[in-house]
Amino acid sequence: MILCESEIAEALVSEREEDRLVVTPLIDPRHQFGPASIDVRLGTDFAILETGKFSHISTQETRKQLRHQLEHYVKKVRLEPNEIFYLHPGDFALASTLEYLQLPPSLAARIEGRSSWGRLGLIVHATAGYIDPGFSGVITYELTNAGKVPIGLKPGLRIGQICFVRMSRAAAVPYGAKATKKYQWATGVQGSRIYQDPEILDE
Amino acid sequence: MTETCGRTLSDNATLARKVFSSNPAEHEKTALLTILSAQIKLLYGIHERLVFLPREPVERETFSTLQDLFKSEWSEDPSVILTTIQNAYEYRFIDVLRDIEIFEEKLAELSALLPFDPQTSILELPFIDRQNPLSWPFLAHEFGHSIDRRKSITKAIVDRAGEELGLTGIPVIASWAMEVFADFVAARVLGPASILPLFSLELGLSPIIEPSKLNSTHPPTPFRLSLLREFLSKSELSFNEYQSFVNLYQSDQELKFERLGEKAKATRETSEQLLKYVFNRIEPDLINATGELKIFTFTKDSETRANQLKERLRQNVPISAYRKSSDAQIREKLKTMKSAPKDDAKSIYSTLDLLNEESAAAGEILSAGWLYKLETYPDRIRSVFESDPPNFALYEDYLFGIDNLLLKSLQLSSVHRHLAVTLKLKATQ
Repeated sequence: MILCESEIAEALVSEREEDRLVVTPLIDPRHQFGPASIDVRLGTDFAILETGKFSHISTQETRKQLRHQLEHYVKKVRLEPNEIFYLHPGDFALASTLEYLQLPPSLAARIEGRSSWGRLGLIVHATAGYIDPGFSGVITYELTNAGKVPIGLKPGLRIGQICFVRMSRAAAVPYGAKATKKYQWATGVQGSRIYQDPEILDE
Repeated sequence: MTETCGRTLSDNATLARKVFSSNPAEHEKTALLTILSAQIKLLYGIHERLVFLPREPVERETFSTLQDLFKSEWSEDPSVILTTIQNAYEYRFIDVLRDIEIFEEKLAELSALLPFDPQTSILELPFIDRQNPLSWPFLAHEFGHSIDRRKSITKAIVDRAGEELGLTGIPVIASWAMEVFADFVAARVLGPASILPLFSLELGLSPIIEPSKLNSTHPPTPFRLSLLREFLSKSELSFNEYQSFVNLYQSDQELKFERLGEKAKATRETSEQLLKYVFNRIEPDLINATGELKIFTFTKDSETRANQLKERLRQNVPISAYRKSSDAQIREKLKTMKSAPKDDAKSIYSTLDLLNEESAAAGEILSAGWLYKLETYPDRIRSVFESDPPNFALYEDYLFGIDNLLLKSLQLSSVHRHLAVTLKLKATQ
């Protein structure tokens, strides 16, 4: 069941701590709330992919080598609140929501783009728009400009929206309790941690 | 380094476990303090050698924090750099030039060539505190010196009082007055939490086995604490919320005092008498001068808010913002809305407005961080020694977790303030 605006509000002030949803800061809820979603803003952190530094991402590498490669693949940039980041046509960059989210074990969520930005060619996630119950942290945007002209982005712009789905039963092992969690408690943009997957070779 | 410290502490885990969990004998406490003292010395020794590594810049949040605390006073745009010395400093570039003999005669020419104003202050923060906002109150104190120098505040007050009291030209009084004024400035923007990093530093730098010495540039910290109590009481603030840490610091000081030689004790007592005599006269002027500055004021409301924010830190959530309406009020409103025949736009919008968050001030965020840490660290230390071998990673995670959430909170509150101004402007247009 997708939550409507008053149900999202109820979850934000839930009396039972284990059912409470956190989305902070809520700077202008009147404009941020949609009928069944909350608009989320762009944060200050970006990660640019330094494609000129190596030829390809190889999953044949060992865990350690792949980690080294991926950590050198992204260059982090932080903007001042009034600074602009230009995303050129075809470019891919990571960024994060300004809002910090904490989902209770009974709620899952999805991040989507906003229609007005979509019409300009801005895509906010490549494939991973699903947020597990029990997740805590900022949400990573996987930004692509599919349009023909560069898009200037600045912190605080509402480029995404999150809808919340109530599960038929609370998760037995929420994301935060999973031994294999990779992105819990993220406070800034985080690059891929694919090297932590068991399919990657240890040695 | 972590390994060496960890090994030493692991080797002494039985002793540590006993000290943290039961009633230890005096000699056991002293033994553990000696071990900790050796580790601290090792850490500071390594810290000083960081001079050989490339110097990283301070975090952006350091600037946004100081900007929020000092408002228009911050407009002189000082530099903040990292230092390998375990202390914070304030100076001007021109003072450095003046100290170098060959530059002394050509100061005007040199100043004209520089790409920045050499009168601008430079604040130094230890490397180790780069991502530790709980230590940044040191910078508020240091910037107090910068304001003082720019406006010649303590000089005027000390000159006036010196003539009245017949104590002119005593450098130690001028120097101590500068320190007390800087303490007041830091307390004005941060409340009682302004001096806690100093307690923490002193407890670490000179553990119980090494009595502290009298300092000619800084009045003894217990005396500074007593003046701060008076300063804060004028705003109905106190150290009540931090009493256990203040007690810990004071008992440590009393023990150190007991261990001083008779001569040192006599010197300390004479200096304190002189201090009381002088500060009786100048303290009101210093308080008034602090009150006239156009900077953030930490009030009783800020204290209440810091306590509310502390509770949110417990949930591992950034504390950049707070709601004016309580959860219960919003729940009530939602209940009324549900019982109404239908959800009309007016009632849903007025409910959503209640969810609006205001940005917390940097002073409130830092105070909340101190309140949270002082309330939680004893249990976290105990939990380290519950396993065998001790699990130091638990404490490391705890400390990094606090730093991370506070840094994020300071960052978010700065963006929030910026956005709120833009949105407000739009709403009034």
